Amino acid sequence: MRWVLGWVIASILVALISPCFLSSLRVYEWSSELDDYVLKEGYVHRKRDEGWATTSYGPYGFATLAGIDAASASTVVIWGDSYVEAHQVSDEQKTAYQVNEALLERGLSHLRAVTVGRAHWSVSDYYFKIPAYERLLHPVCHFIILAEYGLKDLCPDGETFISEPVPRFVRRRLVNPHKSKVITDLYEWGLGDMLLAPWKAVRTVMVDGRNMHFSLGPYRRVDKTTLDPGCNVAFGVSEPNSVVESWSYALDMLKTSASKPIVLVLIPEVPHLEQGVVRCVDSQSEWRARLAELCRAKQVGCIDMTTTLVDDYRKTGRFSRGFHNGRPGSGHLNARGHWLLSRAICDYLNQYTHSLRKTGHAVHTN
Amino acid sequence: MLFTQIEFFIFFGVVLASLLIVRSNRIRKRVLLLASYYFYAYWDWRFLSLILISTLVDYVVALALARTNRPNRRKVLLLTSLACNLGILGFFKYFNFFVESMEAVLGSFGFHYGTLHIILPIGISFYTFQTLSYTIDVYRGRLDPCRNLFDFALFVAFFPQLVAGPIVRASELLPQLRSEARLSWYGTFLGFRQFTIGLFKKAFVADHIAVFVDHVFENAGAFDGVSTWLAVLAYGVQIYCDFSGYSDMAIGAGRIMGYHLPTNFRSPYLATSMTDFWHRWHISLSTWLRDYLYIPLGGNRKGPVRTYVNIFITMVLGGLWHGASWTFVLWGALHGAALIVEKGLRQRFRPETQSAAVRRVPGILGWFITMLIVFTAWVFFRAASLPEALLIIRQMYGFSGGIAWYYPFVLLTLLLVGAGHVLVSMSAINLRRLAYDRLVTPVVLFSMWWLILVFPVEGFHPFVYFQF
Repeated sequence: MRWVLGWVIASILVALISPCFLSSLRVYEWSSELDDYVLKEGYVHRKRDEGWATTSYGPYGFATLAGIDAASASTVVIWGDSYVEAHQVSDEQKTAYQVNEALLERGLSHLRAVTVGRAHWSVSDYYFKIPAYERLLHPVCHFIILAEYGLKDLCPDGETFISEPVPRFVRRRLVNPHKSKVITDLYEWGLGDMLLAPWKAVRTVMVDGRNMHFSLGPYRRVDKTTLDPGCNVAFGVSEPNSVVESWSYALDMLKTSASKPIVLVLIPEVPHLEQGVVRCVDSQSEWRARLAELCRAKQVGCIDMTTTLVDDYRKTGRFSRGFHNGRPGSGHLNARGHWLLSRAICDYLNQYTHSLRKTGHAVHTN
Repeated sequence: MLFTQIEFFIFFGVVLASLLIVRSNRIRKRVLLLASYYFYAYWDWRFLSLILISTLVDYVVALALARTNRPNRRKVLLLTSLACNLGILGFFKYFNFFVESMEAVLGSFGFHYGTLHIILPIGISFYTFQTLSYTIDVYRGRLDPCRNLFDFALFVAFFPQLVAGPIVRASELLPQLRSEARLSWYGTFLGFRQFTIGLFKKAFVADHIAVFVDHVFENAGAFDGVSTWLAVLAYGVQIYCDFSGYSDMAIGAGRIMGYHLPTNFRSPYLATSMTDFWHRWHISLSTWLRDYLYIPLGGNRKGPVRTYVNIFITMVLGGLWHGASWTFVLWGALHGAALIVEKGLRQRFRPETQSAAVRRVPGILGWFITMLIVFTAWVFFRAASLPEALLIIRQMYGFSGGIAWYYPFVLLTLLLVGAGHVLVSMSAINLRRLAYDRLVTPVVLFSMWWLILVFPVEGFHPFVYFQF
């Protein structure tokens, strides 16, 4: 009896303490306008394993401070994956908020930035989602942030972006409706955080259980890098040339999906720490140059942030990626990284609006 | 198979259930032997042959030693065992090290040798020392040879301590194998308690700290002095929690099955001298080195100079036992040098000649100097190469600039470990407080299990001492 009581007390203690150190589970709701699950209005996400921040969500799953104020301004949509979702930094450090602040400073108050990003999103997701968001936001242009190593978000992944025999996008839903319903109900009953610890514990056992084996060794683990020898740009392509072909397909598809201009923002993993040396070049520079060239040919905007990031590190000695509870120089963008990204976007918008004015185009579209 | 893997818990559950079902002690031991061989073969079945060779050679040699009184024949038998065991160890663990070291010297004269692609069999250093101690004890007449091959095979391969110790003497385990192991609720409780504490040390503390330590050492020289100091202190905590955690789990698993394994650690970071440190750290190795290397070399019986030389040789070889690398040799040499200096100072300043006030000071000062040496020496133990170690030392003592990185979990852990050591030194906390009949015991132990499951470290994290 004493041991059962001990187990109950231990469980309650851990359940009470662990939410302070665990990232919260995402609570979604269905949006018929966007034809997709979006983070629930009023939901506050807590991030703890990389960075230490909270993000509040408003209507349509937009981060509150970086959300829409579309009534009075032309909207600039910033697309991306977890780098744009930016749970690692607080709301006022996120790209959209900083872009809006910078736009105000530069007298471009008629423009407002909105971020539309979710962890694991990739190029095919943007393709399928752009029309719905255009109907809702009437943007003047789209920025697509590519910050994952190897430009992975633009490359075939064998799941949503198939490269062979012919390139094609596959629609998917990242949110499991049943799981989402359970989580939503738990949070509505006020049990969400209390059950976070058992949820995580079950997940740990399940993940370990999946890798379980009882056969005698030597046991060979399949290393992911060996699946993709010689080309760490894309998974699922056999030839480096087919990477460019895939990019070409992806850009064409994005252009058909979006009625407004598209700008790619390339954020390489530089500077990064390697064997005690801060390296300001990486093995992907040639690939980025090829992508920039392709963008020019297809009249897609392209911002390569390599020089910006390297110059900033040389000036300030600060990395644009990494957190104290992560690794300096690698991982997601930190506050500095978001600040630099927002500056790059503003600079581009500055030039863009200037050139539009010169050619006599109106910037306000809504 | 790691003690932290889910497979181990299933494997251990099956073994335990078998022991409960089987009533005969003889069959129980066969079950344990089979389980131990499976446990080892799970990593790589091919190297099971090495354990079998060691087992058979030492079993036969010990029986032969018991049958003869002729000194020369006894010596030949002992040398046969030493040659076989140390030959296997030397080939698998040190061949490439010696070839590379020779080439570094002779390469400039045009001599070039190739190295071999040799896989280091897991736990080879541990079971080799274990079988050697048996044969030497029989040779010295301190132990009767084991006449039951299966008992002896189980002594060599007993799975809880097979791959990373504690190094169990035959005199400790063989008598337990001869008598019937008793499985009891209280024994299960004691084993479960020790296993849980060990698991917590390894899976929650050591593995989380490793994330920080690994990155700082991989990027030696890039981080500033304070961050580097933090990494070195953290490594001290990591290796303690990793290794003593394994020992705790081994002792705990053994205890659940009714077997007692010796204590391997006694709060080593409370040591007030280097001698004291080695009475608290990896006790089964330090006593092995004392009994089978230092004393046979002459110990302290042949004058001060020979004593110092013997200490130095013992510690250097102790360092080399850990790994085939000059960094381990240097680690051992540093400890040896520190022990020699300490011994010299002790003889120069005998405590009985000092006043009470002066005698009290060395306790704190001694602790500080001991820790400074121990933690500085850990740099050589952890570093992948000598240049890497020197870069870390430069950052530590030169307080050079670099990236500042203060990992919150590490800061908190260092603080808690420090506070824990203070409480242990004041006898405010000890294991006895987690008694079977106290409510706090299941609360603490189950909280540890929860924390391990709720805050896992992603990836595969073998024990540090598996590489030795």
